[in-house]
Amino acid sequence: MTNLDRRDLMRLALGGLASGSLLSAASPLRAMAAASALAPPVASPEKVLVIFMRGGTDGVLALVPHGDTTYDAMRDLGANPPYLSDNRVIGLTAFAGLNDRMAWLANGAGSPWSAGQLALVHQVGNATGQRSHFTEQARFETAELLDAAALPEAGFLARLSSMIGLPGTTAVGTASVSTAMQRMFQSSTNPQLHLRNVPAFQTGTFDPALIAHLSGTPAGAQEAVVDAIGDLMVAAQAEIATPAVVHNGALFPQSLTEWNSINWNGPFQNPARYFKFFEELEGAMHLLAETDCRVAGVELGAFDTHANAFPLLDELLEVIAFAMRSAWDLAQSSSLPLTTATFSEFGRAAQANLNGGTDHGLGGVAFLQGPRVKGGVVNCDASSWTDLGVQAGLAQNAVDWNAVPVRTHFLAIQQEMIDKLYGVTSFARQSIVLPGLPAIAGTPAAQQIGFLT
Amino acid sequence: MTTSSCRVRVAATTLLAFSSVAMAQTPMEVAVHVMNRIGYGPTPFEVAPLLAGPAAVDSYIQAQLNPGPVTNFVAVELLTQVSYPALEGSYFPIAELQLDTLIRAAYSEWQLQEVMTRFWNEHFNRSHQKNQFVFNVVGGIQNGADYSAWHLWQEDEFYRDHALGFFDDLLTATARSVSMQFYLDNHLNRAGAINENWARELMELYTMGEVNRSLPAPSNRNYTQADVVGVARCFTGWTVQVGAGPTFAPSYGLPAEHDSLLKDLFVGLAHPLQVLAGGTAQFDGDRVIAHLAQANATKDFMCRKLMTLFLGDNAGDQFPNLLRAAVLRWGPRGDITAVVNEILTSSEFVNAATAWQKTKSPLHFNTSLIRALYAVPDVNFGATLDRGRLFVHGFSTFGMGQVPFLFPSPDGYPLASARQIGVSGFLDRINSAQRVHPEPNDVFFGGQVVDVVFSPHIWAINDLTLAQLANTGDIADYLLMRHLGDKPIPVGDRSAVIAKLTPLGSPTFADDVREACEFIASLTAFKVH
Repeated sequence: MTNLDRRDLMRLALGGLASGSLLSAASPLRAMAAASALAPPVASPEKVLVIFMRGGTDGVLALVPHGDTTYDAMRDLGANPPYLSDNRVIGLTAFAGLNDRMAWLANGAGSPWSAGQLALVHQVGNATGQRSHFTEQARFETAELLDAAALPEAGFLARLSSMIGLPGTTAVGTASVSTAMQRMFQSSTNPQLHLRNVPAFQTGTFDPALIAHLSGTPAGAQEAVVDAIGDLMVAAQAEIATPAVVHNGALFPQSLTEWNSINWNGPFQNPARYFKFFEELEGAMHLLAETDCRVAGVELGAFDTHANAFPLLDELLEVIAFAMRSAWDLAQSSSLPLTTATFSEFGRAAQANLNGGTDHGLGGVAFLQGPRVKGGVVNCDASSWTDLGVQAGLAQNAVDWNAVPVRTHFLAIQQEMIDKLYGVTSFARQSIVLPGLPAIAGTPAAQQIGFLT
Repeated sequence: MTTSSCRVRVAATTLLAFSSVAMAQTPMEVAVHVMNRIGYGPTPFEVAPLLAGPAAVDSYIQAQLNPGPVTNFVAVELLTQVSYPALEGSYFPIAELQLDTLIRAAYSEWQLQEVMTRFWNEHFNRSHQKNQFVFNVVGGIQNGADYSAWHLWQEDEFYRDHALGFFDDLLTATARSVSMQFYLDNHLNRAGAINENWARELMELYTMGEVNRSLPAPSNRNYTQADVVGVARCFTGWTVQVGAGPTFAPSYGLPAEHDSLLKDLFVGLAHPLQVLAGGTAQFDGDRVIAHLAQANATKDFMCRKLMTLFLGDNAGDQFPNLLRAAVLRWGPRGDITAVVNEILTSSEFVNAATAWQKTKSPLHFNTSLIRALYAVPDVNFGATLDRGRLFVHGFSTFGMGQVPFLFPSPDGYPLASARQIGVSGFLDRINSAQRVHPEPNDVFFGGQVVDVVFSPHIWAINDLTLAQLANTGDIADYLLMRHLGDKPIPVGDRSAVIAKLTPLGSPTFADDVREACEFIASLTAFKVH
């Protein structure tokens, strides 16, 4: 027996579905299907790709507030040439510009920026955050604003999936396609699909006894979760359309040959470290393009750069921009109604730490792109921006000491997405998906920015 | 599939002459549970003595709490094949250290020591991925020697030696280690130009945690942003000195690099600390370390984490009495042996309610697979032990995201069971199971199975048992026992194992055994412990 095989999974899944043996009465698929019967009918065809920048992205170096007169002094990270020089910033507005390694998003007639479908939002985060990676990641992914000890395992996308109902009778409503399970997709009762490397399921054979076991009635609490994953896996594979996926190395480079055929905006020390990310991104895009999957997630790590941020940060920002552009191009060519949302748990300190890096901050950036997105720069103009020099000068015991402040809570962006894209319109329903919403209601940061039509 | 289940019926062999009556916590179940939780799973030889009863189990636990030298011949032989460097700067790729970890996890008789060694490596996680780059830059290294791996190896040995020692030793050594100084940038921390990275993670990950789970909000907060800044100031001047060779050694800097002003820390919290003006870099840093090592919040945080390791997710909340008892055993220095002893000898530990509730980590899964069959990376029927075959198996662990010494973020590979579950990881475990069982070309002497030879990647079991089994049902039960003890499994799964087997002597017997083993290792039951 060789590795699990996508085609055989599909064959067995279809056979199993026909005989009714795969979806036992107690299976989570049944429970989810039943739950969806009670949920309001939603006919939205919208798709979302979530790209999570794990580690706290230095938003100020991505979306550069070049109208900030203190920027040079506060952000001297040792870059040569420095970031404010004309050849490192693509001017988008009089106040804001884009790191030139991210030119994939803004240059050329076919770019999402020139199409008016790229929103670049600054000062996004949790105003009362503790600047802990792990707490703030969990808060973002669970959409809860509790203490670290009280945060649940269940993620907001898993709750969204349950609320809006799953397409057909299958479970591929949302999918995390990353090496590590993304908490935003996780649920203790309905484990969401976490499928890495979809295109790899191409060859080999599959053991029918194992399929039967995976889809069997659970024998215990722990097994219930794992058995449910077997159900999900089978159903997911059944959804993937034949013929087999065709790899596109120009959009999702996974070898040095493919990498070197791309005209990158700057150097990379070790391109191979990004091959897995693009493999997972391609898998996510195939799920979105070829199945009923509504939301897929990937992530890129290593954004935690306290020292010697360059050239790694440059590389990471270009990879993010290229990934967003690849998603854009594929969606354009396949008429996929795709919104791409790129987040991080927080931004970095206003003032660099003189080690060529930045410590943890509060406000970061979010990049949003797609046909439903109203393009533009948000929270980065003279009226909405407080100079970095002012922030760095605050008392050290101030909550927002040496941090870009938060003007837009990440929950407000999540709220707008589930409202506009998936029709979860009432505040009561929104608060089920995003339990932290009531805690910020009425605060300035809770105000939606209106980035979606 | 039927919902009924059965315990594995056992054959009358020396190994299997134990009760398998369907009841909670059979001796076999207790033995398998203990070996799964304090080690990387049972081997047929090591589990047998524990079946004698509670006294034998207790004796085993006490022995594990007091480890000695590794004497297991497979471990000893394979460890001789690891290329340890004689000097700092000698060629020593990280793969050698990873191999050392895999060998000890699979074959060392001191399983608890290995689990705790990995625990401390993960708790104080330092990533070779970042550090190799930093070592090269700071040391101006051009010759490709891997200094980062050498230091990680030294530290791994320290963690092994002190795996069941005192927390203050572990914390102090970690803080002073070159690897940690580089990993969390403390070597760059200077007066007037602080770097907060080490200070924050010291409090959040290595000692107190962000909040004290035993206290109600909002009085449960253990530190503020101002404390992150203040603690970072205490460590200003700590750095790494590059000597000839080069060599790397911790240093406490020049006085001008240290912020020697007064620091009022944790003001208004349960554990205030005033670091007086005039202290040296070493004095101030050590003062903070000693304070944090003894903080009640640290005792609570660490005891909860150890309970998660041995009992399961949220065990500290689930068993508050045991948590209190463990905290009391912490003592003045953080007595890890005492705390672990408290947990392992508690009624909560050997308990049907906590059995089979954890999902194996990738390292646990792959290692337990080796141990279940007592497989050795063997060529030529034991004449040669081949480290390379073990490493191939290890790679499948790494592919699941648990890469020793290379996990990128400072929180280490997730300890919680809930974080092990996902389709991708599940699929990877199944695929891994396919790579460690015998291939069709295996050799049998005179129609009798004297060695089940696993190739191309792995090994042989020196085991005459299969040859003594009368029918496919007995063979199936034997193989199930090797993997699962007498854990109840669905009747349909046992039937599926039997259906894969043919009688001994059939031309496809080796293939059949292989497929049966693959199937068993792929069962849900083998992914939990």
